[in-house]
Amino acid sequence: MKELIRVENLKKHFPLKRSLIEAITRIPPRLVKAVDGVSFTIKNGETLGLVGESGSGKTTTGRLILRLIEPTNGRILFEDKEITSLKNEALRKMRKDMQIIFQDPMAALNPYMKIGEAVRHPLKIHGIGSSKKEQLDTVYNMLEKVNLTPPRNFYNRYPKELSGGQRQRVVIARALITNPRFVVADEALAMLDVSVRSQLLQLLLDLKNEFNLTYLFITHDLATTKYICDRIIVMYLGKIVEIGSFDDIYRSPAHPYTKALISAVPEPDPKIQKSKKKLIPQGEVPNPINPPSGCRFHPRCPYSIKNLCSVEEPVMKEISDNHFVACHLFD
Amino acid sequence: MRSEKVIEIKNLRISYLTRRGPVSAVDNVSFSIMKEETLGLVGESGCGKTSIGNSILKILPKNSSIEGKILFEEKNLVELGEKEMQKIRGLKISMIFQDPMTSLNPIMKLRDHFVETIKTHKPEISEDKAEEMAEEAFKAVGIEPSRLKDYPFQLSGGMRQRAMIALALVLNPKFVIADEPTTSLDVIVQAQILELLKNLKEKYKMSIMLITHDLGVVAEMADRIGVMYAGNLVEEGLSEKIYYEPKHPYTEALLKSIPNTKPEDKKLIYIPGNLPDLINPPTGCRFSPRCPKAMKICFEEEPPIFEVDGSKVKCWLYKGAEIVENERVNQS
Repeated sequence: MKELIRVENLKKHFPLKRSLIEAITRIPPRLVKAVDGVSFTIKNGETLGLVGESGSGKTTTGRLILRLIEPTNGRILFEDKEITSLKNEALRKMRKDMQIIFQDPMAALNPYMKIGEAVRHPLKIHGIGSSKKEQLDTVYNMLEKVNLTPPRNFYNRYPKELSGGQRQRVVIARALITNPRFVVADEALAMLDVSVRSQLLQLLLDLKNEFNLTYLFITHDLATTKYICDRIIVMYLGKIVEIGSFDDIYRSPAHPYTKALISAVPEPDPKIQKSKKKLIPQGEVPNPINPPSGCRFHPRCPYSIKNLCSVEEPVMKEISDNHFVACHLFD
Repeated sequence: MRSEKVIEIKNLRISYLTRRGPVSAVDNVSFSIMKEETLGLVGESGCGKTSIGNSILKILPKNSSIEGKILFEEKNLVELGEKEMQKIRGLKISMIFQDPMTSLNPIMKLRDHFVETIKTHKPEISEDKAEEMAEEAFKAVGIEPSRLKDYPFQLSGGMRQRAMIALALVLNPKFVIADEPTTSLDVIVQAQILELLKNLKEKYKMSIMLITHDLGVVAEMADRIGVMYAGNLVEEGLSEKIYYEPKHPYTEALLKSIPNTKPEDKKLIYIPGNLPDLINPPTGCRFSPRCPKAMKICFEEEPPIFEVDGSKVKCWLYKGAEIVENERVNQS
């Protein structure tokens, strides 16, 4: 498979507001290192899962790739073409190929815009379709693809008239109307109920096959990655701790943090649940303003090695074919 | 588990008056919770599970109306006045909410939350003694007692939820309603909080009603499970029974549609259709339009509750089994 996206040493540091005294005395602002040097690739046609808890930097990474926020450092390549410094018109043109599905459809849709108009909007922006009629046909077609049928009926409705699942279908339709190559799904299913979530997961899978899409699937929910992700990246406090195929991560997780994440997923089967040994680390994700030295997970890690993990930052190592981990246990 | 009932809910109906008409959010629900038992109430959004929790403490919004009985300590809470309810809330029945940030007062120190709660119910307790109780409660949930001096925003999400739990348990209530207590938390913190709740339940010998949409969370905690759909309690039984031998087609579908933790099982199963509009609920069984096993009678007549193999099921598939409860009989 050819690679579609390449990310090299990507960083995003958000400066914190300074107090007046700090500003006068020219103390440099403190930084939240939301994403602190991540590198990975996404192959054409694959679904890459990006998992982690809140504050791990997964959403920031997704937005950086789409250039919705400016990186502090690093490079982003789309089909071997550097897009890190694209501006204005060139950037806008590129957006046709790269789209995003947001978590909360009620916030992502204009409440005063008919949903059909919302889906047609990207066509207008990118000047796709020679006439209004042609654009309308494209929209009807897309609404049908996301199962909002009959499309002519749905076209004139407003977001508040739809259920949560239907609204998210609108957001998906709007993301796919420009026929993009790459779609970032940022917690796209997190707000939906279980029965609806599986419906939309199936829809995302069907659309991926039909339009030959590449997904970056950002989620905090490890269980849903099983159905859609080919490979998974696990992030912790702005760093990648492990990259592997779905099977690597699920069956033989290497990093202690990945192990903890997997064992923390609540198990509905009472028998498995009772026999399951849980490896729950103490405490919570530390403050990213002042992250721990060395390996960022070391204060919570049960296997932490004295005088090593707290001092030296582990580097990414390949422990088996295409299974990478950043942990001193594998030195 | 003791056979003594802590709370008994009988033919509870809750509706909300909206501009489009009354919404029947909870329709004829009956169940009870035993001493030292955890009952999990599961269902998707809009199924009425939170309405039931709020109705027990009588904190429903003003546009609601409530019928039926909620029996607690030989009193019917539905008929109780606000003054008497205040003596029950926090002292005998307390609640753990989903979002601690919106249920704690942001401009009040945590210590003052505790002192206020304790002094309201037990004015004879001195402030020093109340503070001591707060420190004990903080220790029990694993927070440094020195953090009592902090404001809610100074705590992390997981710690805030621990503080909420401490506040709910400080007067040692015998019944606790936990409404989605871990939903806004990250998965590792969620596991920590569930572990904590399990230990505290043992320690304080209380009964818990755990309201959640997450069947995994319920399996970790509950002895019995009640499954709700569109305002109806469609199935109720022991946790193992519900998981291994679901009787109601909705329970069965719900269980199949949740992702399990087996990596090899990648088949995606879902329930077609959408949740019904409760202003105009479907006639007959409310699940019938989405039910793969629906028969003619399901669209016409509301099923009674049948007792099948120790579980209670509201489904016509079990016609012929013993009827636990028939709506019309009970209404007379």
